[in-house]
Amino acid sequence: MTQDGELEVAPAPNATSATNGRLAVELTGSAPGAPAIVDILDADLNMVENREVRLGSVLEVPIAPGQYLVEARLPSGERTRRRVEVASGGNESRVSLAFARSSHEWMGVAQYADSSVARRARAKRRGDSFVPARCDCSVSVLRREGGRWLAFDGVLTAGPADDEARMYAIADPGPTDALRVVLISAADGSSRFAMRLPTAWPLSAPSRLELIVHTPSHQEQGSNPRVTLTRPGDPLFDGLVAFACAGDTDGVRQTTAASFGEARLLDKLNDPVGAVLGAYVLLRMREVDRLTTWTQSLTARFPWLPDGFLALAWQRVLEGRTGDVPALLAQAMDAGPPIFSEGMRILGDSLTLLRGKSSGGSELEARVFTARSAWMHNRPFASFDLKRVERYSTEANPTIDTWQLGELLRN
Amino acid sequence: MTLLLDRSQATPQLHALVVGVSAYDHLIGGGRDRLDAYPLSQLGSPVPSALAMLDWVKAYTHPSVTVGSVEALLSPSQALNGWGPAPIPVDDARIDALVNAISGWFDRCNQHPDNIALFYFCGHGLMRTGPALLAADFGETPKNPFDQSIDFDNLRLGMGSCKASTQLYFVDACEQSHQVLVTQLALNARVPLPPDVNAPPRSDHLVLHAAAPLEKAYGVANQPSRFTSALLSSLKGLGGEKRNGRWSVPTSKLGDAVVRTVDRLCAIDGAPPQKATPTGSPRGAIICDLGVTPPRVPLAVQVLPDAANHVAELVVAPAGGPPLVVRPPQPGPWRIEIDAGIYSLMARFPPATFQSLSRDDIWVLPPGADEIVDIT
Repeated sequence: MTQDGELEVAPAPNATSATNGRLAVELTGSAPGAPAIVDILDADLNMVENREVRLGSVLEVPIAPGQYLVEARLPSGERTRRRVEVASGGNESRVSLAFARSSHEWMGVAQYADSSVARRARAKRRGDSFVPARCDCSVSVLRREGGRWLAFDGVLTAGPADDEARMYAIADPGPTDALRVVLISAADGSSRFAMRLPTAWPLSAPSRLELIVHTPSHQEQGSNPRVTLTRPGDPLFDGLVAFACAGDTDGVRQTTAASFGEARLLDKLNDPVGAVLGAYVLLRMREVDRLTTWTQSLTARFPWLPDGFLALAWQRVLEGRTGDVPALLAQAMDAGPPIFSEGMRILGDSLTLLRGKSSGGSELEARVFTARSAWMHNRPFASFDLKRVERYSTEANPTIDTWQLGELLRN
Repeated sequence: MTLLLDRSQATPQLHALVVGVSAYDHLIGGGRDRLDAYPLSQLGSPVPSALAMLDWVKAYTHPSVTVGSVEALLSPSQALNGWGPAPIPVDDARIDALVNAISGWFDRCNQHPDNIALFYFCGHGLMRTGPALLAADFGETPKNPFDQSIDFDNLRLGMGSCKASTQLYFVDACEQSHQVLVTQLALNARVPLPPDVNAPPRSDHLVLHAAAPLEKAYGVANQPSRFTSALLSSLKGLGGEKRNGRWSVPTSKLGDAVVRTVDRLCAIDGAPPQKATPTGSPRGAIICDLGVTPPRVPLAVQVLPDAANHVAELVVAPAGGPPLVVRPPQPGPWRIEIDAGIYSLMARFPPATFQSLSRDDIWVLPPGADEIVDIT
């Protein structure tokens, strides 16, 4: 039983058939665009429909009159279900399912998210935090200005991280005007973090903030600031990854079948981190045809993103076009550790498959094994693990806090 | 190599390789030169788990696939009844036997594109950049103990060359790393099936790991492990879906069912958390048929608030039918197992306490239902 759904069943005015019924399933929630999977079962429990429906939209299906169960599940695992009687005579029956609690499918790309009491509590309860205690990280914020890099150095304190709160590493974004942050674990000094940031420092109020600093001026106040690194998130990509992480392969397949096409993917290139997640999931599902030239576009537009090269390399492997795979792996290595552990897997699997079959392979292999070893060793800081991320939901959109903090910083 | 059953032919068939390793020669309690660098002990659960898996294979049904072959390796070795006129002695799960078994299993699976390949391993596992499955003689060569282990990622990749279009891998092992491993670039575990760049895995394949990377899997001595129990419950019904009047378990449902069942078992046991992890590319192929009878499904009912739960008499009845199960007033959630179906649920209270409640829309479906009766 789910308590949050609201059921409305009412005959619709437009009858279309004297013999068949029509059912409209409306999904509502505060994360419009998030994918949900709708199952419709008849009174004998036969699955008669199994489709992806985005929150905020309506699924309309012609269906024989009778009693049905309509169940919808979000990537977070939250489910709501309602029974509905579909009348004969072509009248439309409408079911409205509301997800009240799951306001947004925020995914684990929020890093060091110690701003959430619930997350802290869960990490404490599980007792398996990857950052078991607060630790200091030296931070170097670099800003490209007038052709030279300006550095801002300091110390940030990272809080306990739970499954969702992994550090992820993006290589140098390259000679752009974007800021770069490098976080280095104080313990061993060998892990790093880099991500694109707003072009001004202190933080301005751009449309997409990705770094939250909880105290405005840590050096002056003598206390270490705490950081929460978040990504505003794309409901589709976040939902897709949440399905994948939960082992809900049916959810993944339905979502990719319904929502992924070349045009749609190209639209998503504004969010390369999310986009690469989508590519990984499509590759997992062997939906290579849906990727076409998209991964190529990803590597062209974001050469600092190692995962783009890795996604393209694995696509080439699956297509049987392995000639340029060693070069793509080398480019990925040049760009640094992959953001996602799926990239680590692809790196290893590609090399394994290519073993002894390409010139220069052993040199590349040695380089990769050395790097992978270091990355695995520094796992909590070096890699976002696709397998281990747990979905979570928050009542409030973290970006709101970010905006408030932006205001705080300016004042 | 111990084939419990071999009816291999070039028709759609299931070919199962089941490995259970409880006894390790060179680990703590193993009786031979101990491998001090790895403080791992003997296990109690793998052999019972493998035997339970074999029982499931023996009873296997599918609309178009028959059982082609069943091979088993067990440590300690033992003779198994029920597979022939006389008990069949099963080989020890030592590395050479394991490598040979995998090679033979590949050949049998490779006979038909509609074959289902099933690989099951229960025993110790260690993780570096990928999991290594430890054979019974792990540590026989102490300078490279992993020479007595299987590189699972390479096994899975190597099966890309196999014709079998549905491939199932169930790995009931820890995925922990170890201090010693940090210093090594790779484990140099055995690769029985060298991967081929021209044959990456394209099958409908499902990989179910009992634990998340770098984490533990749990079992109770002399009983099937928690993961295997959840896996078998899912294969027997909790991963079921009904289409056109018949229940079956598709690859697309099994992962979710196992994850949720392991979660539920953890909650019931109050045992350490364990995160079953599905991967692979399941596309919905039917793993097994369950027939037309609804599977048994767990139902948990909790009345809120607790004060009401303590005094509630709970009744579950088929829709429009007489009471099926009754729970007298008692604390804690009510957990029962009933056929999948549509039920009524009633909560009755003593006079002048709470208002009785009745619901007639309780759909109990695999992999389980949790009902909360909130009378506040």
